[in-house]
Amino acid sequence: MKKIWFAAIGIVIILIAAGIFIAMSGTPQQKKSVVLSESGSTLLYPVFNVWAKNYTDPNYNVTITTQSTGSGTGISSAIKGTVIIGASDTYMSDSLMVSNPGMLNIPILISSQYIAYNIPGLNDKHLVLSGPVIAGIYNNTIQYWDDQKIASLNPGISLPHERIIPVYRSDGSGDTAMFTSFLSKSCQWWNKTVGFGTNVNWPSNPAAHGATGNAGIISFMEANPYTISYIAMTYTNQISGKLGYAALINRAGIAVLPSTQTVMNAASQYLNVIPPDGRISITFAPGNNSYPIATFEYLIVKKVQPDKDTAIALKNFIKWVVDPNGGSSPKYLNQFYLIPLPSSVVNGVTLPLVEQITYAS
Amino acid sequence: MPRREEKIFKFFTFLISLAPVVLVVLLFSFLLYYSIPSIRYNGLRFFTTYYWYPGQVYLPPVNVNGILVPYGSSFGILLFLFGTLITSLLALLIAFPISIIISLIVNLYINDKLRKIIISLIELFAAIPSVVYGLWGIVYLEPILSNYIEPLMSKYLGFIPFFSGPIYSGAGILASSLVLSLMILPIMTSVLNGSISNFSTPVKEGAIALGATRYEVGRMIILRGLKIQIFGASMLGLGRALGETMAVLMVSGSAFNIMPSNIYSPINTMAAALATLLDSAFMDSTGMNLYALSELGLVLVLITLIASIIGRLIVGIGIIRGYTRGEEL
Repeated sequence: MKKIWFAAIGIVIILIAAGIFIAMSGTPQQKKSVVLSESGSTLLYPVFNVWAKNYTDPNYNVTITTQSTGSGTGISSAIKGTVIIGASDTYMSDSLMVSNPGMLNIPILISSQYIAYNIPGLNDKHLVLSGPVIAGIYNNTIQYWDDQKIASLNPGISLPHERIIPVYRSDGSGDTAMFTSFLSKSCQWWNKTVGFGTNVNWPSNPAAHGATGNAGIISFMEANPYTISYIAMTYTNQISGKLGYAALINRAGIAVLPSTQTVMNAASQYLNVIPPDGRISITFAPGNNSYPIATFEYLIVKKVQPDKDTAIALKNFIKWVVDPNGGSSPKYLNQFYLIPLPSSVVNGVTLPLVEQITYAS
Repeated sequence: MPRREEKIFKFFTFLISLAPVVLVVLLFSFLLYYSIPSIRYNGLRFFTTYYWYPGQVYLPPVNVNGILVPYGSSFGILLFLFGTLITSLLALLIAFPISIIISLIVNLYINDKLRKIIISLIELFAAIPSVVYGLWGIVYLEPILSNYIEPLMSKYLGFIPFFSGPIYSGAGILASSLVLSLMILPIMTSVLNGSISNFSTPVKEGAIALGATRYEVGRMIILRGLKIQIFGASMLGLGRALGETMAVLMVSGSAFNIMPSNIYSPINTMAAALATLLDSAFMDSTGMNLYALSELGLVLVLITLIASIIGRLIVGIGIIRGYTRGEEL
């Protein structure tokens, strides 16, 4: 008799447990959970956090985790598979693509940067600078603000005879990549000896200083007059009223100020020449009204995802990110001064790349 | 006969006690293994040049003596090595007299209650994260240095080599050394204070009974008797200064590819360079940037290890001698 009682109680307990389990998992939506881990670009980190908070998937419970580690770490983690999404300000080099053929470089946004300076009295004016002049400032051949090469670009402005202090990012940075790409394309000397990348063979200059992060550059520049550096457009609010920024001579030889419009103009010059794998530099663009420093922001992901659910959730998320009514709507991007991709790039490059994402069967 | 549990316990404690040794060996072999391509590619140039050229990673890699490396890459740590040593030694030079003076004053001239308060306050300083020191360095120290102190130093001390201008900003060797000295001061003071308050009271009291002033007790008895401990405290401070990353990174000016021309020049240290160069090293498909950083890390570990071994040897010998002479408690 005892045994039967035990069995009966056991069955009841199991039934109750099963009931609770079904009740918890079955109501009200039967969504599977997917975690999309992101790591990489410090520039994309703020917008990624806003996306992570606001994104919902119709079929999955998607959790997006974000990490601000740097583009190089993001790419490396995505290759190793420790994260699903590597966020990067630059595309992978040809040789990295050869050694890691299963990776996709998906363009999602456009970002740009200022060439900023702190010259007391001139910060409310926009000096005109060119690639070769900036290269000369960094390689110590142009040492003073009233140098003939700067003065000739800025007739009528009285420049101070003060030593120029060029500032670069000491940490690896997509901003450095953008900046050095512009210099490489506009100045032969730079292209040959320094080149471009997230960190480069910085020319020897006794006045040059390094600082960490855009925030580090800004605080250093504010504290030290006669400095010049490159600052991501994301930091517009932090520099306004404190630092001046330059109009840059573009490929057409015309001085252009940075703005959403002039950056869009630059990007649209490349619409017909973007390769199907999305990897292209859009600095020093042709066109009279193109600002010469801009870059696509990339999501670096594996073509073959570990499982079906991750693959589908990832595709949905990236499609939402580039959707002008989704992640690329002004309500998300404007606060960070990020610029959405033109719809032709979304349809012609981004979405076909997204469709390449599959899963291991 | 020991019981079975005891044997098992013994076995596992033995195993765990091996962990530190195993970890150090693993760390070394890991660093060494990753350094090998860099040692082969850079050779002695690694120590004799100050150029750290990551190369053009977006161009196809080139083959140099059978090793694939980024175009235009070359790695030398002379600048970082010099920066690490000069900032640490200058910091020690600044912190050394101050910590001795503080610990003598609190032990000879101040009553017990106040001494405890002051010492615990100083020890509190040791617990402040280094990034806070760095922040203080950027916000307060750098402007004061570049606007007032450095121009004055350059004007009146300019006859001393490396003390004359030009001055470009407050960030550099001087700022790094000052921030570092502030960071190692609490450790050094705390260790010295411990040794002085443990210093045999009969000797102190005897000297005072013989008519010595407190100043004489401090100078002739305590400082002479505690030479070894003072050295030990300095080595401890130096050890911390050598490996400090964050605070120095924030105030050093992060120089690359140029040696400093004076004490106000931007500088870079091995630890700071390691921290800042890692991310872009992942962009290099040949891996050479990562290998070179591993070699940099290996050299840094070796330097701190040597400093620590020398310190331990000397302090150890001193303690043994002290015991035989009956000076120590």
